[in-house]
Amino acid sequence: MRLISKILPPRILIVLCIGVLSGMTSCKKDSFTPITTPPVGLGGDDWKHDSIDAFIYDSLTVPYNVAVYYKWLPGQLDFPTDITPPDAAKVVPVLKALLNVAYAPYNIQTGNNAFLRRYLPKALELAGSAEYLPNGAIFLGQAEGGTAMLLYQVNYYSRMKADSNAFKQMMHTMHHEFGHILNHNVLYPVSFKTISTGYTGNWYNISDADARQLGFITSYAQAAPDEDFVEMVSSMLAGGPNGPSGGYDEYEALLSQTGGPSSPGYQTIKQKEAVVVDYFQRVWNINFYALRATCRTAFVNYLQ
Amino acid sequence: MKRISLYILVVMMVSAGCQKKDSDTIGGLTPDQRIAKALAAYQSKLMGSQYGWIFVESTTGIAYNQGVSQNGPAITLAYYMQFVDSNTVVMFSDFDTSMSVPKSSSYRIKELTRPALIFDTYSYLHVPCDPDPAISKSPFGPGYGWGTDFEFSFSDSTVPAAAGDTVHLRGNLNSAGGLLIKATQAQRDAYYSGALRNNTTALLNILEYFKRLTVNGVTYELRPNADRTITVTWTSGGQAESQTTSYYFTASGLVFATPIVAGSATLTGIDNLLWNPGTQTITATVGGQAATIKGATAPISNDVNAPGRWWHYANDNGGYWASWNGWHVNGVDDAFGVTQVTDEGGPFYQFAYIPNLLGPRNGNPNADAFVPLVVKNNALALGNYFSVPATPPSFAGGRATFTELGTIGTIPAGSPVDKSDQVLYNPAGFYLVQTGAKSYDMVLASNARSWISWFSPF
Repeated sequence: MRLISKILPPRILIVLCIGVLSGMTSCKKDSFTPITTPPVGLGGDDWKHDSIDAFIYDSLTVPYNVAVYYKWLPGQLDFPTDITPPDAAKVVPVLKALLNVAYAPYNIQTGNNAFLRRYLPKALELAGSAEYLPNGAIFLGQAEGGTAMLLYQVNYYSRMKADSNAFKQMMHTMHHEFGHILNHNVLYPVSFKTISTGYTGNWYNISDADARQLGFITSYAQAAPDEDFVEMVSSMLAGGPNGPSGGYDEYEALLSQTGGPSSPGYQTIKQKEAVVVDYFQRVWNINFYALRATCRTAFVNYLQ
Repeated sequence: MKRISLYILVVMMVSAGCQKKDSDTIGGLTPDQRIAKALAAYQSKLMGSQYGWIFVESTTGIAYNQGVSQNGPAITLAYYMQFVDSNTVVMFSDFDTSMSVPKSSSYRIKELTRPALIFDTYSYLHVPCDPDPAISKSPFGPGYGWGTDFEFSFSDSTVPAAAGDTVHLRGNLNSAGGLLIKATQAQRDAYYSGALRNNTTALLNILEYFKRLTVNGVTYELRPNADRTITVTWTSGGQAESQTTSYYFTASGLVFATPIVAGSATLTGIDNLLWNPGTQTITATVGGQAATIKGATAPISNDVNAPGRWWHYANDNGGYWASWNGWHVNGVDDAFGVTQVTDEGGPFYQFAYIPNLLGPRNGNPNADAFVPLVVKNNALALGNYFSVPATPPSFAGGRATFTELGTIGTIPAGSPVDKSDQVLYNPAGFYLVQTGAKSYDMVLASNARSWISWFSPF
């Protein structure tokens, strides 16, 4: 102190000290300014809730702990991609169909909704159109690491018998994506990956009928072992595309395109079937054939 | 001295820290508060227009999907929108004649990089964006709409209150320009009274290819094109002049996106189009003056060299002319059902005119072919039976006239191919109207009620 006071008169020093103090207090005060309204967008968007939101809350959020995103959220789906949001009028019918035809069979087989409540991805995202890829293929659905499931083409939904192909395709997509979610939780046996060879990124150049001769239930199954496994699940539960009728056909009908029971294609697919059935029994304690029967009944009963 | 430096340092640090605080707020508001204020201001701006808004959307001619762009026609569309509450919008659209009844959907105003207006459930606005070409009828190809948007950023650089009666928007995916213009009560009432439909359907009632607008003693030819543009042709000192622009309809009439400047006259649009079935005429007003639109059997100025150019373009390049639908007759696209035929070797793909398909190299006399192309084993193939015109056609009188040389296979009488051939060999011949660098419409000269739209796939 002495040294300083020799250079600066005490008054200046006091002014300096006050300046430092007041500067500090004003900064302190600023950092304690309480926020009276939350930052914009924190906690997600909100809107005027209507009967669609009420249906989602009562039928999916409460029993299954699932949030449904049907309104367009920028960046939620692939960007920058031309996808359109669902028609609001289609949302509840699609969700009802999912509950009755895709979810109910699991509840019946497991006794209650605990299985789906635990494993259904917590976010279900809906898109009105498909997502078109540069190679000419389209996305009908996607599963994201066990947390979200994305269902496209909601605007094409119809429960009329005449449109059963589109309906079956939607159910096929749902079972396909839910199969991925189950695999994300417990992987299928590694030996499944060695049943077939010839997985290819160019699967979209192969017709479904040709793929069946090669031992793949659909051409998409030929994309990778993961897809192969869930295509087996979804084709057995909901049928597969481009069967003998030209549209979606039941699993047995698809098998007729392999070249018959003695053909290598048929035997490969049957080997995969055995792994799928075993996986569901051992890992999830679900009788897959019984589940399949329940799915088919539910589907037939739901068509108008 | 050391201590003094320390004090000075402390003061500098503290005051620097405090200075930073000052830049956190503008007008005493934090960024969050300003964002919330801007969103609320835009919300009240949209809902504050008592009679709603007319929304004009103009595309750039570029559409994006998966980050890959495609080029195509730049179009302009018009909507009427009323933002009835914080999440609901009711709209009309001129995109299709079926969209002249009000439809309700949802919207939301949200902070993205800029405050954004998002139409977040499917509406009329989404149909031209739909990636499914069966829905959007887009010429950009599967995965692309028309380059329109349904997610927009507010792009005015002023605050909403200062924007007045217009609000500018810019699409977030395709950068389509949007302009919201406050509607008047008369405009709103016109939409709700069905005037939009009168305007959008009027021209469809004229069955002739050539449509003539007469106003103030001057005649103009109107040609609406498949790419949502319209070509206006007039004669000046014996010379034909024409201008092509995108256009849109409101409940008040047809609006040229770029005004047509024909000599001393400037046409901004055609108002109050109304079809009169008794006189088979459309009445309208242009610039406040009474106008009529009628069908005509011949072009206002025939492009006499077009038939030769048309034939030579395909012949000299070793290509062909293709049509998706075959003949349009009396207001009906694909009048003979060529797209439905499957008995010609495979599913129908295109109807084609192929110059010099036949010749000595395949043991035939030189001849053209008027032939359906079908898909067989994932490749294009000729139909099983078709007609063979003499090559080249006659170009006399500024028309193309075809004569049959023979047939390949046996054409079943009354089949779509047979009916298509009967139009082609009409002795009246055809006017060729060039509609683009590589596209022509071929119009039957006898009554101008039958035509086929050719494009070159190469």
